Amino acid sequence: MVKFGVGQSVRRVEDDRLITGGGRYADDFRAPGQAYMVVVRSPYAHAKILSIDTESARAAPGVVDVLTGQELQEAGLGEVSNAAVALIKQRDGSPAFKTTRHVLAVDRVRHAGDAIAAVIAESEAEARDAAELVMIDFEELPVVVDTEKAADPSSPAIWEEAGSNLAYDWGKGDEEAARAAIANAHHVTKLKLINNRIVVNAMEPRAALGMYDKEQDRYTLHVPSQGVHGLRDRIANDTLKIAPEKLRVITEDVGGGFGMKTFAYPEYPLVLYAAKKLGRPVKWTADRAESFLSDTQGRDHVTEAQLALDAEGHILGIYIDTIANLGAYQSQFGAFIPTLAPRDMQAGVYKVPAIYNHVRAVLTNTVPVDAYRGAGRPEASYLIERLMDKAGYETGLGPIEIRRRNFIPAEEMPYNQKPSLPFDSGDFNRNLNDALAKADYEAFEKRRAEKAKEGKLLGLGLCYYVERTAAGMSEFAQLAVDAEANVVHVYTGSQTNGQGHETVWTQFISSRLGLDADQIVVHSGDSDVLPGGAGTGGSKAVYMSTGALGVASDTLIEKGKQIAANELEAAVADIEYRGADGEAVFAVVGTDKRIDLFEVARKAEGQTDSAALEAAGEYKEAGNSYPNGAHICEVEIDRDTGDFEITRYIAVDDFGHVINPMIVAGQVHGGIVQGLGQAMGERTVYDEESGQLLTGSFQDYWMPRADDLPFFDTSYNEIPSKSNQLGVKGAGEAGTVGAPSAFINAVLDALRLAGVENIDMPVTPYSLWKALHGAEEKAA
Amino acid sequence: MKSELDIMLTVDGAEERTTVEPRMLLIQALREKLGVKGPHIGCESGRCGACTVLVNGEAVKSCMMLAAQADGAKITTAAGLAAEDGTLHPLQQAFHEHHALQCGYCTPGMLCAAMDLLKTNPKPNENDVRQALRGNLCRCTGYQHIVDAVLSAAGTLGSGASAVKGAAE
Amino acid sequence: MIPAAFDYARPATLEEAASLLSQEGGAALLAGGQSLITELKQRRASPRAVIDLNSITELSAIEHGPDGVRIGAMVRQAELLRDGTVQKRLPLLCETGAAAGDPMIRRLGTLAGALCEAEPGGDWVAAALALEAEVEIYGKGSTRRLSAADFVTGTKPAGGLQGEIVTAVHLPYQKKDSRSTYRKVKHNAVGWSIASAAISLEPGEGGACRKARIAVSGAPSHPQRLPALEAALTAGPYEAEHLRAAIEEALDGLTFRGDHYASADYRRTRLGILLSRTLQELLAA
Repeated sequence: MVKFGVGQSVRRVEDDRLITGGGRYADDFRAPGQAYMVVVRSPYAHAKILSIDTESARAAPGVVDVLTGQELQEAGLGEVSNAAVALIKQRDGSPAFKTTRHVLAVDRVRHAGDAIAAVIAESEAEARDAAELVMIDFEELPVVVDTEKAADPSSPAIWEEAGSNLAYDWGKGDEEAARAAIANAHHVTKLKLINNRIVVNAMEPRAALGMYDKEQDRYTLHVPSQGVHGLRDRIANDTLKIAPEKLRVITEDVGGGFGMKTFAYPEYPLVLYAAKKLGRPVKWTADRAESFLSDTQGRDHVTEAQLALDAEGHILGIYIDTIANLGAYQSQFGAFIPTLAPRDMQAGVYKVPAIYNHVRAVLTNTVPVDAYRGAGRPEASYLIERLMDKAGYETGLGPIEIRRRNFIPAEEMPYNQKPSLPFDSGDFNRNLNDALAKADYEAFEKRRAEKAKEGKLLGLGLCYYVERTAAGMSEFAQLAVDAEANVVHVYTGSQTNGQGHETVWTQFISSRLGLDADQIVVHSGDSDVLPGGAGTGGSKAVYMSTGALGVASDTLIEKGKQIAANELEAAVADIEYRGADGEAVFAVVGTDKRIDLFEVARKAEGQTDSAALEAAGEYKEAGNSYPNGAHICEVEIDRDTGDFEITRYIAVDDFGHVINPMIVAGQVHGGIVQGLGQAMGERTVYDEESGQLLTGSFQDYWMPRADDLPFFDTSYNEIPSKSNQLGVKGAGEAGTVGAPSAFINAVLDALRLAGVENIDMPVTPYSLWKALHGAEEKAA
Repeated sequence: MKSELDIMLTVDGAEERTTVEPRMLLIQALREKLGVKGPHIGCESGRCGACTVLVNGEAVKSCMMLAAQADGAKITTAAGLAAEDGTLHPLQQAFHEHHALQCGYCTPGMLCAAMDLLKTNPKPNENDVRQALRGNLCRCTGYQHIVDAVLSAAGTLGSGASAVKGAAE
Repeated sequence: MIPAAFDYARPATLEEAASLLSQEGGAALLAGGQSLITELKQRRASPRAVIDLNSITELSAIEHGPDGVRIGAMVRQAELLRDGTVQKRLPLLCETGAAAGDPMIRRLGTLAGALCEAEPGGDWVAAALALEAEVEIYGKGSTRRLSAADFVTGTKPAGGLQGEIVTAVHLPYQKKDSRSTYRKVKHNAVGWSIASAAISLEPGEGGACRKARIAVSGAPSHPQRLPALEAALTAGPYEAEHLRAAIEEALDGLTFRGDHYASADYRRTRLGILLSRTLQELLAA
């Protein structure tokens, strides 16, 4: 019996190795004869490099080589990829300003932690010791770190070539219509908010093991990535300037990525260059301090928006003005995140006749910003859900009624929200009603009155989020029946960062081919196996990879039928595949003449174009899916101290058909906690004067811990997506999209009792106390 | 005063001898010298707990101890919790049942921290578990499933408290 | 993550350790290591040599006497918190310990080490001050004792030690009728206090305290007792208003730390509220 089907909380197949210390993370790989690389990083946020003296470092024990930017330039290495910049056209039609980032800085450093030199030694300890001996003369330059200040034309320009700190001025939507809606509105709700910068902090630091095979003139890179193919192409095309086939990228277990591990960081071409030059493998592993200073960071927007309403509280239009901080350099997708990633998601789940989104992206002396779980969508959702709450209070309709009035109703699905959001399904009222019931909303005022007696402010916050998950690219898969081992090998172009891909692919193939879990072996990322792959990112894997696996399994069955037809002496048209009820056989329709899948594979040799029974699949048909849901948060605040506590958290989501409820619950919980982390304490603080990251370690940067959080009540309604064959909606980022506004709206609901109308993320006891007491912060 | 030391560790039941520099941390000796890859390095400030192992039965952060200090000690990592025939320890089984891990990077440390808790407090309540795990960061799970798993292993998971519906069956 | 190189010795006796310390200029003593090892890894400290005290068995004893306990310098915090007599006779120490660090840090960390580090936001140090601990110090062949208040003065090294080794912490037991508690506003990342107080009150006649010991940490420049507030409580009786005034007066005498995480004003406010709420609760008990 196949007990591994779709729709069950099947326990994960990857757990066995991970709970017994058998995970294979990037730093676990060692190559014989490898040398270690340590990167020398800038202590200054902005400075000219006057000279680099590597002599003492080269003379230190164990040192093999010291690389500088000048050498790499002379060797013809290209830039670090910032591919997305080319996608951005400014409002006046001109291209965006494109930063040039060398693998190692040549004459200028632009953020504290910018890579300047690489010391390669026999051991990591020797490399670290020698790194301290690289002598660099700097001339310090003025620093800009703050998002709004960077946009001020009087700030020093980080990139003189650009003339200012503006990387681009971009707009999308019908500006005239949005302005007219505001001009003719009965009421306009205005809001200014900060979407605070996040340090991603996957628990596994980045690492890279570079190898070079001289005979074949081929490079191999072991790296924790979110997609081996994308990384291969960026490194090969943009930096090493080689054909992508000359580079093999391998990723096995990844200790969390959250967007950040997608990108082609400078250290990756660096270990490859060094491996070729030195004729031996070169290994680099970041320590946490380097993660803080070199992993892309997330968010960092300042937004002003106006929401126009008619007399009944219906939305007429939205006008959005955002300043997005891209950091010192445009990262690979950095330019894409505040612009094309959210597209028009600022309209949320509401009918919005006119929307205009104006984004000015600025460059600052901070770590580059790129995708972080949700990538543009959480920012969009946070904005509209804050606006709706504020509008609810200003109009007297309240946060629930104003949302209901503007919801796109279930009976109007599919609904084409112009200009670019074709919703396929959704029942927003149903999820909202369920969430309100679970939150015991009826009794909220009573709870609030009781808390008031204790001097506590109780607030209830609502968010109705929607997310658009990714589509529009090809995904690839391959199946190979291994007749020797009686297993089917599964390869997909997506790869796990811990979400549970292996289990879900196993479930899917199990249900398609009628195999037991132990007959299915899911392989991790290897750019040599598939022609391409879309990687993990954008909550799309569940429908893109199963789509490709579906094509591959159909093809596999068709190939198998031909062999089976020969073996069973029947016409191909009379062969069916029976992959259920414990069977995995080809059979002649209407008879008990059958042949086992693995037997067919054994016969495959000589009958098919390849030695074994195998099949590839490519899939690109799926459209975007729109996971959505109601999150309700209740927060209690101590008026005197600013201490707060989340006293209840309810999420009722719609992920369409759910393949594995347990894995979805894990995604929701983790997502909510990352969203709450941003909202309730993750503070990325750069010193305004020096540009130093003041919160550059776990001693300074808070992330949620086990005792910081309440119990979450999560559930879902399955409203199938119509944009993919399984009817699923991606669940990977949803929690992170919903949580920040649910929490902040709850905080503001409480603060309103004390006359406070605005507060920004991250909310901390200190920030609440300042808001409640209007206290001026004195210089420390 | 020595600038190199011969040490002996019993790691998951196997006696290991190696030579280390005094500055080598226990985690580095385990990973680099002995090829023990279960405990991970997640930070250098002793705040993440990814490197937690049991030293003579007690959970410590192996990046907060010199290898030299552990000379002669019995070290248990996540790999050593399972029985020799591969049967998972009930706590490991509970992590599996309750989906208490995603990327798995923090998991070996979490398991060791939870082992220590269950040794000193065999019947913890939810708050006990949350306090006991406050030295271990996890970026994936949101902790609730981890807490459920530990409570379940202790037999103190209340009915209806499970985040994974039906997970306790 | 990798410390700078150092030499290493693991002496078996105190005398041997002291002699090594006098020979090796710039040697660091390694006890629990929960501060030192982080400093080594981050290369904020790079001593020429490390003298590991972990094999000196004479430093690992908890010795209970009729009126108090001697806690050896190498007694781990977790072991201390497990000791039945400590739990019974020094509840303030145990409550404080449970709020300090995390379980793994307490497995290695020591009370003596925490006092030597005397972090501005330290927890143990507040309890030691409120419990009137004494620090036992060995050097040049003899032993001396310093009160916790003289040991923790905000300057480093704590106690002004030069070539000496802390061997034990002496703590008098709390009186059976004493009311004590440790309350803390935590820096959520590092876990240290941004405002905390260890308080031990012995109730007296007529609404005044027979004895009051209040030590604060996190908010002021360094952990310290609040003698004026203690005196106000023993002078009693204390109406709520009187108490608030006495707290404000005590706070006026302190210099507050401030940073981007919590300003000096905020720390002062938090400490004031914490003292007021906690004292009212203890006095009403």
